[in-house]
Amino acid sequence: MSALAAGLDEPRAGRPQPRWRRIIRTSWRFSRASPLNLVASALVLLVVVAAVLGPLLSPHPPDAMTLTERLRAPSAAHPFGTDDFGRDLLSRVLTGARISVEVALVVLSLSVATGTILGAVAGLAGGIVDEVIMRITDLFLAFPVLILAAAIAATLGGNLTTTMIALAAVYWPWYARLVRGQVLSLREREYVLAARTFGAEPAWLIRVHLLPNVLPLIIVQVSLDVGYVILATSSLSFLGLGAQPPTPEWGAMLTDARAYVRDSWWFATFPGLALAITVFAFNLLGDGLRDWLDPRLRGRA
Amino acid sequence: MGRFLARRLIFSVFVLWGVTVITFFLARVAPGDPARLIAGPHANAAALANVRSLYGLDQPVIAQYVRYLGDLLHGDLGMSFLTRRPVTTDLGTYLPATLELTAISLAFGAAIGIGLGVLAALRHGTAIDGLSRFVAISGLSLPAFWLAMFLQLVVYSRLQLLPFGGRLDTGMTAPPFHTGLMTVDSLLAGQAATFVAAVRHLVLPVFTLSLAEIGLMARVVRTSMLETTGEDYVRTARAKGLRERRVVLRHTLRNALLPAVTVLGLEAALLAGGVFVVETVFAWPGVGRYAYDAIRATDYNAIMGVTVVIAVAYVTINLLVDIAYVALDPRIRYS
Amino acid sequence: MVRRLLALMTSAILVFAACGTGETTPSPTGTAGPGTSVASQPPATQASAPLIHDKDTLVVAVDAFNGDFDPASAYVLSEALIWRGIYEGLVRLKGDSASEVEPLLADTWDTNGDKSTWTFHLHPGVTFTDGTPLTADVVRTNYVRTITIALGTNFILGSFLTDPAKQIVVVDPMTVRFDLGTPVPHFDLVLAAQNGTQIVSPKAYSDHSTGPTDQGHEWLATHAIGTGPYILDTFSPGDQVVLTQNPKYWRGWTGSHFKKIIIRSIPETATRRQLLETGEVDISYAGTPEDTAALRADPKFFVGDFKNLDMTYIMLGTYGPLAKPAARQAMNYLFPYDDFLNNVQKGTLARANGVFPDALATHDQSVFKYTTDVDTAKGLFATAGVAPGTEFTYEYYTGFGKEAGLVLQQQLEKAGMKLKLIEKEYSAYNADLTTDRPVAERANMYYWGWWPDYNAPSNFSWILLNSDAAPDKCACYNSGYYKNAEVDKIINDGFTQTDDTKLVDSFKRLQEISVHEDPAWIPVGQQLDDTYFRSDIKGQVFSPLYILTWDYYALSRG
Repeated sequence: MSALAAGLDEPRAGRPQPRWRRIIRTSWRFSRASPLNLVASALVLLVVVAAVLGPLLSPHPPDAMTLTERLRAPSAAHPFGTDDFGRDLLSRVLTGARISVEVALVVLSLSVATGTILGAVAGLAGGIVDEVIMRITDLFLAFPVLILAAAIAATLGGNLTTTMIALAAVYWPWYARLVRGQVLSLREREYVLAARTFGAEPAWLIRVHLLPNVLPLIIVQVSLDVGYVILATSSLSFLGLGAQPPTPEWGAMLTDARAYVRDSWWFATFPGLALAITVFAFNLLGDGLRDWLDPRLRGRA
Repeated sequence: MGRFLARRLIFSVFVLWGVTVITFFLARVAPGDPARLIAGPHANAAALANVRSLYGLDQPVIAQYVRYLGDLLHGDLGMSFLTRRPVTTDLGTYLPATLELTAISLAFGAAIGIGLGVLAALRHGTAIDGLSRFVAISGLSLPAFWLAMFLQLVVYSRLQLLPFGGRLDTGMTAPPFHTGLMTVDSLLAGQAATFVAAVRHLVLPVFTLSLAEIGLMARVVRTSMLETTGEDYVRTARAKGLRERRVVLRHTLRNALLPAVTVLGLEAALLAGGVFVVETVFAWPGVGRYAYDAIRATDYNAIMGVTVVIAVAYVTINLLVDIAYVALDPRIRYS
Repeated sequence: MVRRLLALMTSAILVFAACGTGETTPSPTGTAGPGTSVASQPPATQASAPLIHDKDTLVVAVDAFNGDFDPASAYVLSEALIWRGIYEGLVRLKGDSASEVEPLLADTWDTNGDKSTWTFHLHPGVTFTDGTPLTADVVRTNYVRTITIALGTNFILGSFLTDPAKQIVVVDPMTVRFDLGTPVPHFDLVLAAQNGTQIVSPKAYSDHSTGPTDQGHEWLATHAIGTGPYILDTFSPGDQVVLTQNPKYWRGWTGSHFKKIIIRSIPETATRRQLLETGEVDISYAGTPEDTAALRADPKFFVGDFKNLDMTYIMLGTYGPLAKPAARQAMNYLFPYDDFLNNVQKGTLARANGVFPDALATHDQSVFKYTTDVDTAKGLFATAGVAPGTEFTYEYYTGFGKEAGLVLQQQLEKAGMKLKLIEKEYSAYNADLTTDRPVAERANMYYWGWWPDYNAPSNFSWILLNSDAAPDKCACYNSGYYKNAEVDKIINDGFTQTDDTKLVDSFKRLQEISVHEDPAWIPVGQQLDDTYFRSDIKGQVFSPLYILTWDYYALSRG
């Protein structure tokens, strides 16, 4: 699986570059690899910009109601129209970008941290510890994702925080499996065996040998999961188990829009489009990254 | 193989037991008083106490769990507080609707998805590959509830091409119960009109539900096709001068289908989540909608019943997939 | 936006009635038909939408229905809309009146001089759908069961019959007498209440009883045997209910009636409207105010627009930051009545005049009325010692109350306060309202609606405003723990007040207190029944008290 890692660590002659320059350079190489990669990068950039600068770009406060301006079609004053409380949809959609990205960040950080620790422990310790951790992992995988998340959200009371906890509970096992698999394959490598023979600390082993190898895998998995997490968050909010009013979460906005879809097309269109494009962007990015990092799947160019 | 099976079976039982533990205790800390749900909003203290003792809700949680587990082993999932019927009766009513919806979506999604994946792999690196990737990822990314909204508005309300909601036309009597699958039962009863209605009612939810599966399947098939193309035996086959189509069909596709089978297993979980949303928005009377109502109303037994059934299905499917794997690829050996 | 609860417990004696015709004995023909007099609908020449189901089937779309066919416990609108086709009581309200009673299972009735004894003569030859004949003894055992098993509807009749086994007397097989022991001028009006008065086949609770606390209750959760025009055919929870004609129905099937009734659960307003417009559904619960406006303008449909006794309000918790009356007055000054009613509700909710619906007996039209005034509210919050930045909580259930919460949230922000909205599923919400909890676990405000069982001020206000109806005392709906000694006294005295003028005066005072001096709620509005009908549906009569349920037997397709 180290083949996957090869894409990232192409050693270069000369002095080491600053990290950010390496990231930009790598991103550029990735984007150039295929037109779809370019689309993915551009869209993800758009979403991230919206998430970061959204509040600055919003023409109106996202929660400001003008009841006399209820359900207005798109116009110069309200490019995306207004919702059932006369709130500016453009501002709400922009604010929604930040919420979705934040939720995805929190959920995946929690999942990656938990999954990596448990996976590494399981892989390194082996034996009964491994057995117990992996069976717990199986257990969580046996739950239907959304139903478990919905049940947790319902138990803890529906809001974005519980949505995040619920989704993290659902996503960590994938990372635990991933990391454990990598640890197991590494354990048998000659250089690791050699290092162990010379009495290397497990922490050192993890930092020097494991992380560089497992990181690309995690990056690919995270980029693939961002889309799912955002979609799952919106689904839960749509079903009334996630974000509560007046939070301009896209799924929650679509719940409100549902009753007006017949006569006010813009209300459901824009939040839905924002959601679809965001999920699409991250899925495309993840898919492209996976292809790009795995030399066996690279184009024939 | 025997040892492998035994081991897997033991694990499966462990996983199922764990699922009951988690859902049971999760449900018990959920807000909402089940006794009040059963007794009704106006029940007085005596009536509440009566209900609590009748359902064992006055017992310690551990004792309640032991009692639940005992009942479960006898195939008794308890009463649904919401529908006031045994959960097994409810599942018997709603499960066939979900099975019909998912089975058709799975078949449809797999057919289209595999086709798309094979096409992409054969035309690797071309515009067709890019297009197929675009379609596949769009399928994975479209929010089902959003799509449903517009399908309902355009296809049902405006164009009136297809019906929306329910499994049969309003006022139509369901055919005699054999399988619970409307399409099959209507054919068994020789009711052509009912069959047509059942199929028409399936179109929109199946389309929505299978989109994500098409995307996932297409990506997996493409990847594994490309991986196998590089394998020695495929190269050998090519070297032997076999025609490209034969190579693809005989060797590459067959081997690429292995991971596809695995994905089908995982699909079960994915679909369970999808079904949850799709049934709710399409007013499809299946377990997904039942689970939604149960969760909203903290209907303990119903939530547990649904989770246990889905977990059993998931575990069984995974077990079968593993076995299929061994059977399909003799090179794979389990220790 | 449907109140699922049609309820009321009451106590003691009902005196006042807006119209004194209750005890008149109607014609003894025995087949007094349903109220056919008042129908607010367009002439038959109107265009109709296409119909894509059998024309002899009536399809209604509601947000949700529940199965409970036990008259001793069924107390909720979502239950009544099913059983109304199946069960009957002795009498019922006439047409669109809140105070006129007409015969149903009892042909005639009479009362003694001081109205403490009421005798009902049953219609001969009525049988339940299981073949059991309707007799005085059946009526007696039904009401004794409903009152003594105490599953929720017991208080409606039980407050007049503390020892029902003794007080309900079988005079002869066709005559039953209620010995109330004290004058009850309009006991027939009480018997015409929608809940707690329906009569079920005695076999249901004798053959299917699992014990004295059950008496067939569990069985009646999914089964029903009544005398009514329709039979429960199939019941699929969360999906649909099918009722079919009772071939031996005692009022017969001459004239135009539906053969089959299908009640579908469609929680989505947009879907309900689309089903109606495509011709799949004949009657639908109202959707958004925009939907209502569109359908009002469409000749293929007609919209009820009938103002009934259904009050919609925000309960104010008399604890925490809203403990002082000034803080609750501040909330009343904050609510943007005109903006909300005109722009959000678009006239589907009428401005309330105080805490009483305006057709309720003793309603005071001149009661104090708040204007929306943020500055006054700020001052009152300061007076009450509510610190700026205080976060209030506001609870509502899915589909009912979010809009009002959001506009209040905006207003509170203007006053320098915060509002947290909490959405609950209906049953969880209902449990929150009726369960005693420590202050820290209660919301500060609850969105709620109510209408009385029968038209009497004490009946309406006891369960909502009396301190004995707070959750720590009973599973009632004074969920803000409102406690005002003068209000308690007025309500309790109101049950036994025989002087109409005194009753009006005392309740005028109650309205002044609970609106202005010591506010209990923010009275938001009075609901209009905005149910949508296809214009070819005939026979609909809106009742001010049998709200959002239909007399299926009276309906037909023109």
